[in-house]
Parts: sequence; C-alpha cells; structure tokens
Amino acid sequence: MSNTRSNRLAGLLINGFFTVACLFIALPFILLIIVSVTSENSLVQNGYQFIPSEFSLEAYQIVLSKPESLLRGYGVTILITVVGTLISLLLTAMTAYPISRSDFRYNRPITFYIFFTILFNGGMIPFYILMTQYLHLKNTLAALIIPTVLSPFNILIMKGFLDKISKEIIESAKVDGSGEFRIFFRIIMPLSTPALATLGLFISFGYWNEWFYALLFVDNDKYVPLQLLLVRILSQIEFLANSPMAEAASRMQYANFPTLSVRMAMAILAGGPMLVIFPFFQKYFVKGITVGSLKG
Amino acid sequence: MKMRQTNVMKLCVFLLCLALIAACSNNAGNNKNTNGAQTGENTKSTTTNEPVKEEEPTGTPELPEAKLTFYYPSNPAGADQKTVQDEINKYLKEKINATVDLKPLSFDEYDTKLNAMMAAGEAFDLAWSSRYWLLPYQGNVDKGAFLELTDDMINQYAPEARKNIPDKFWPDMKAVDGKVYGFPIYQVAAKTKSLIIQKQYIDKYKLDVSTIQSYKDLEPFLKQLKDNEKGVIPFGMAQNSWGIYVDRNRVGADGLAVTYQKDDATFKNLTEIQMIEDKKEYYDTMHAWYKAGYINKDAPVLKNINDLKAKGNVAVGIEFTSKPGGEVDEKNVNGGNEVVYVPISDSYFTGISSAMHVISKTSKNPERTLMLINLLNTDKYLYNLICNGIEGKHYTKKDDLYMEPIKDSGYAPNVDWVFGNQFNAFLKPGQSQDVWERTVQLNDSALVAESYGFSVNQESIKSEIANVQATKEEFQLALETGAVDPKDLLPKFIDKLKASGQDKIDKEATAQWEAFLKEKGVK
Repeated sequence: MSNTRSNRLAGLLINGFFTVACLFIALPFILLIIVSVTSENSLVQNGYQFIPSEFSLEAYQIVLSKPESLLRGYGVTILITVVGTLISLLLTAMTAYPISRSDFRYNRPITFYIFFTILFNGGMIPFYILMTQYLHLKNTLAALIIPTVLSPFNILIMKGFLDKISKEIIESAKVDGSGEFRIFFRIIMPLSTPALATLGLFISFGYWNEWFYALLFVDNDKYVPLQLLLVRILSQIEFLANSPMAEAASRMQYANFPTLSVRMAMAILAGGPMLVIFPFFQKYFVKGITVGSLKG
Repeated sequence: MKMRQTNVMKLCVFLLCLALIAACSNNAGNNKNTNGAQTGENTKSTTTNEPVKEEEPTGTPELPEAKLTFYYPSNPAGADQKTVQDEINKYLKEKINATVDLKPLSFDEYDTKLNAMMAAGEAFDLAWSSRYWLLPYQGNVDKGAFLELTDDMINQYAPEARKNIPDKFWPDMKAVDGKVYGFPIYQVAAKTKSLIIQKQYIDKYKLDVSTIQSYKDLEPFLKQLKDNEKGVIPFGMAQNSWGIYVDRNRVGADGLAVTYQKDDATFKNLTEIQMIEDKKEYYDTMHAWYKAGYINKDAPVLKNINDLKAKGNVAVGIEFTSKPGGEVDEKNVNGGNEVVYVPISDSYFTGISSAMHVISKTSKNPERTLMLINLLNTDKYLYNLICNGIEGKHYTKKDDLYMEPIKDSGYAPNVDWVFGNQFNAFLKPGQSQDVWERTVQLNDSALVAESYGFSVNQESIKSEIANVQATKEEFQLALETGAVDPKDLLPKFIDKLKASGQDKIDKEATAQWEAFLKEKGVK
C-alpha cells in the first residue's frame, strides 16, 4: 500500500520535473515566435508578452520584401550544407577507419597527431594566409566548405564508434575475398549508420550556421550565406538604432522600423529549416550519441 | 591477400607523411612570404613607385592607369552598388585615370576582415579608420599598417582637401610618433552638453529656453510638468544619462584629463575631491527632485535611457554630444516627438580624427590614392554620387540645396561620414538649410582646452584607479540620480575615495600636468 503510494508520488515528482523542464525549453521559443508577430508599438509600450496586444506581420513583410538576396542566401547555405556534409562524412569515416584498426601499425601515433591538433592550432592569421595566398580560395564556395571538412573531434568520435565493431567481421570478409575498399564501403559504412547520422547532424549544423569564413573570404555578394546576410542586416539595424553617427535622414527612414520583432523573425527564418530536419535524424540520434559508452 | 593489405596500409602511411610534409612546408612558406612582403614594403617606401602591372597605353601619358580598392564600413547599399561604381569610375577615369573597386563591409565585419588582411599583407589601397572606433588609428600605426602621409605628399596630391581643414586642428591627426598617417574626414568636431526638451511642452508652458543656463533654471518648469502632465516623466535619467552638472567657470569636459579654473592663468589642476565637494548643492537638488517625483524612480537601475525615451513621455533629458541638426535624430529616439536642444555647457573641441581615410602600406598606388582622397573631400559631384547614387535613379534633386532619396532605389548606403568632407553633401529632407555653416561655426568657435591631447600616464597609479572606479560605481549613480540623501552619503563617499587612493591619483595627475605645461612652454 505504502509502496504504491510512494511509487505514485515518485511518478508525480518525476513527471512534474520533466514537465517543468520542457516548459523551460519550449516557452522561450514560443515567446520568440509570438514576439516576431507582435507589432513594434505594443512591444515598446508593454514589453514582451505571451499574448500580444497587437498582432502584426510587418517584421516578416520587411525581411521578405526583397527576397532575392535572402533566397540566394538560402541557396548558398543549402548547397554548402549538403555538399559539405557529404564530403565531410566520407572523409571523416575514411580517416577514422584506419586508425581504429588495431592491425594498423601507426594507429596510435596518428591518433595522437589528430588529437594534438585539437590542442594547438596556428591561429587565425596563418590560416588566413594559407587560405588566400597558397590555396587561393578567396571568393570561392570552396572557402566555405573546406575549412571545416575534417574536424579532429569528429574523427575521434567516429573512431570511438568504429572501435566497437568486431574485427571478426573484417577477418571473415577478407576470407571471403573482399578488398579493403569493399570492406569499408560495404560493411563498415552501413554498420556505422547511427554514428554517421549523428555526426552528419553535427556537421550540417556547423555548415548551416556558417558565417565567419564567409566574412573572411567572400567579397562577392553572390556567395554570401544566409547567416552572414542576417548578421549584416542585424548590424545595420543596431547601428541605425544606436549610433549617434547615423545620418539624420537615414534615421528618419528607420524611425518606425520594427527593430525588436524583425530580430525574432530573422531568428526563425534562419533556424527554422534546421528544426524541421531534426526529427528525421532523431531515431539515429539516441543510438549515435551513446557512441563510446558501454553497450550490450 | 596479406600482401594487399600491407600495401594499402603502406599507401596510407605514405599519404599521411606527404600531408605532414606539406603542412611543414606551408609554414616555411609563410615565414618566407612575410619576410618577402616586408622587404617589398621597404623597397617601395624608399624607391619611387614602380610602374603598375595593369598599365596600358591611354590618352594621358603622365598618369598610367591605376586600379584602386577602397574598404569602408557601411550599411548594405543595395543591388545597384555596381552601377554606381561604374558611374564613379567613368568620372574618375577622366579625372585621374584611375578606377576604384568599392568594398563596403558591415560594421561587425570591418575590423575582423581588415585585421586579417593587413596581417596577411594583402594589397589594398584605401580604408576608413577612426581614433577610437573601427580600425583604431594608433594601434594600426604601431603595427605599421598605414602609410605615412608626409606634408610633401599632401601638398602635392591633396592640396585642396588640406585647405578645408583649419590649421589649428591639424595636430590632432598626429600619431604618437608625431607623424601623420591619415587624412581627416571633416565633420562636426566639437561637443556641447545640452538638455533635450520636448517642443510640445516648451510651447504649452511658454518656456523661454534662453533663460535656462544651468540645471537650476529648470526647476520651475519641472514643477509645472509634474503638476499638470499626468504620465509624463519631467526629467528622465538612467545609468547612461546622468550628469547635468556643469560649472561654466571651469574648463573641463568628459574625456579631458584635467579641469582648471577659467580665469586661472596657471591652469592649476582641480582635484577630484574638491570638485565633488563643490557639487554638494547639486546633489541636494537632485535628491529634492527625486523626492518630488521629477525624476523617474527607476533611474539608478535603468540601463539605457533610450528604452525609456522611446515611449515618448520623457519631457526633459540630456544629450552629451549635441550637434547642429541633431534635433532631427532625437525625434525618433523620443517616440516621434519634436525636441529642442538647450545647451548648458561650452562647446569643446573633440578632435578631427574621429573619422579618417588611411592608405595601406601595401598600396601599389599611394599617390593616386591620395588624389582620390582629395577628390572625395573636395569634388561635390563625386561625393554626392558615392553617397546618394545617380541623380534621377537613386535620388531626385529638389533645388540647389536639397535632395530626396528615392525609396527602394537600389542604392542607399547612408554613411556620408565615411566617404569624405560632409560639407559638400546635398541636404536631406529635415535638415536645416544652414546646418553645415552652423557646424563649421561650431567647430571654429569650439574651445580648445589647454589640456586637449594631454592624458595621464596611469602606470604608477593603476591599482588606485581601479579602487576609485569601484568606489565611484558604488556611490556616484545613487547620488547623481538623486535616489539617496547626500547628507550622510556624500561624506562617506569622499572618505572612501580618499581611502581608495584618490589623493595619490590627483597628485600624480597634477605632477604630470605641470610637466606637460612646462614642456609646452605655457608655464
């Protein structure tokens, strides 16, 4: 009797805790959406509210009023995300696989070499010089893809996963006469789908949020990804709103500009597509994120 | 089978070795390259400029064609950036046989990108710099990123632009080593502390603004507002907007290291403690105002005054850097209500180096770049072209003075102060006709304090300054906004300042100030 009661109490507490936790996660996002459709006037008067006193789609109208550059930004971002993620996954797996093989003599030094690059790097200036003066990647889409193609951290995660694949499979495949490439593409890759899916998600987030390399290496408006576009628009709004240097007349134009709600609208436009993609990865996600932990 | 496996492994190892070697040689290459770039620069600055690669035979033999690049911070101009650039280049080609590649960057991008470019020794010609903001002047001069502009060069290639700038302001362009590395973009160079009063209340209560010379004169007006206007904050203050106390008998302003008595021929430095003691009456007044409800109750905790002003119910506020025509800007900040500036302090010269053009050390055509600077600062057609775009397409001309931007025209960078001497600009709707004359007048009449350009070397008093700063943060805000009674707090404040080492700071500052005066020959 007392047992069931304490069970029920525990259930109540646990459910209550997670309900609250979920609310903490969901509410800010809901607020973001609501603010983006609230009129600027009511935002200034009343602050952020869950039930807007005045509804307005002006923020979206402004952001979407000149869709050319926004669409182009989406195009660039989608392109580098898809191409970058595919190349990155292939190369990460191909780097991680040899060093996960215990019969590869140099697996330890090479693993250390990769790990070492996490600890030390050349800094931004040598990187910039390398990209512009040796590889001549300025003003190319490759400049947005190449720098993040191989992340040592991802390689080590992938290696951790591959370590768990039993080496007997490889042995038996060899006995059956398959070569290294066949083993890699036909056996190892399919077996590591959960890890690939998880890493793929991480990597694609990275590419989707990419703006810094674009800032450094892209002068041409054609290759500006979505996030850099938004950084620019935001910086313009900030500037006009706060700087004493802004011209009187240009300030006039922005007098009634819905600064606050435009920010939220842009956040939704920038992050939205990724939120849609996320659930499709979810089934792999749980399995993949436990890579490296103990499994039965 | 075994054979094949080892072969694959060998291949992997071989490839990795290659990668390692490639990485190493890249580093070596980097070093070599930076050295190369440096020697390249050195030879360039000593020898005369070499013929440019892009050279081609043209009608003007004395000037080979030059391609220039111009980096500047800007709002996104719009789709017609290229069209305007072509138009500019048509004109420049005629004038100085050069073309310019405009490279606008947003304010967030500007420093990061240019720092990387300069560190990598990438070639460009012209950039925008400022004393304390983007692409900071002194720091980059120290790095050797900017080309020195000698008097000879300026006299030869930019004499007209130089003439626009009063000689008494020119020393402000000097870097620490006494040399000049930038060309100023002439604009407002003085600041005045003013009250901002909403026009509707001035009209309603028939306030004669000329009677308001200091904060004390404001009191009857604030009382009227408090009694008759519901929901209006008579005097709005926040953490970033306190300090309407001004003593017109003294020379001293924000940003100046010392304050001295106006009629004092020895320029004796007034100590901080003394100045705070002198403010007792002011603190009392503030507290009385706060208690009477003239000042918003949340003043000591409110971060930004503009958040409050946006609601449009702040009747009086303060502006530290009022300039001619600034009332137009203020209208937006004040929820669309018209405001009037009422100056309560003298106008102080603040320097002309807040915005300037610099030529990169890596420039292949410094002479032509300087000629471009000259045109940007003197040529009305070119200046308005780069600021506003093409007439009829991006703006319409109203009359001789005024222009009107065409909405959504495809070119509107809105950063006139980046391109050149602002006094060549067509006026925009809302600007008063004499705004440029008034600005020039203000600049010319602004008080150049004896202490302008003097700063205290803080090396020996670092910890005292930090302590004093902490003490000030603790007391000053509450005192300035009137939120507390100064009767017991002011003595406590002064005691704690003394305990934090204020006396030592004052002594050190005074000593350095005296030395500075002696060196200048004033004393």
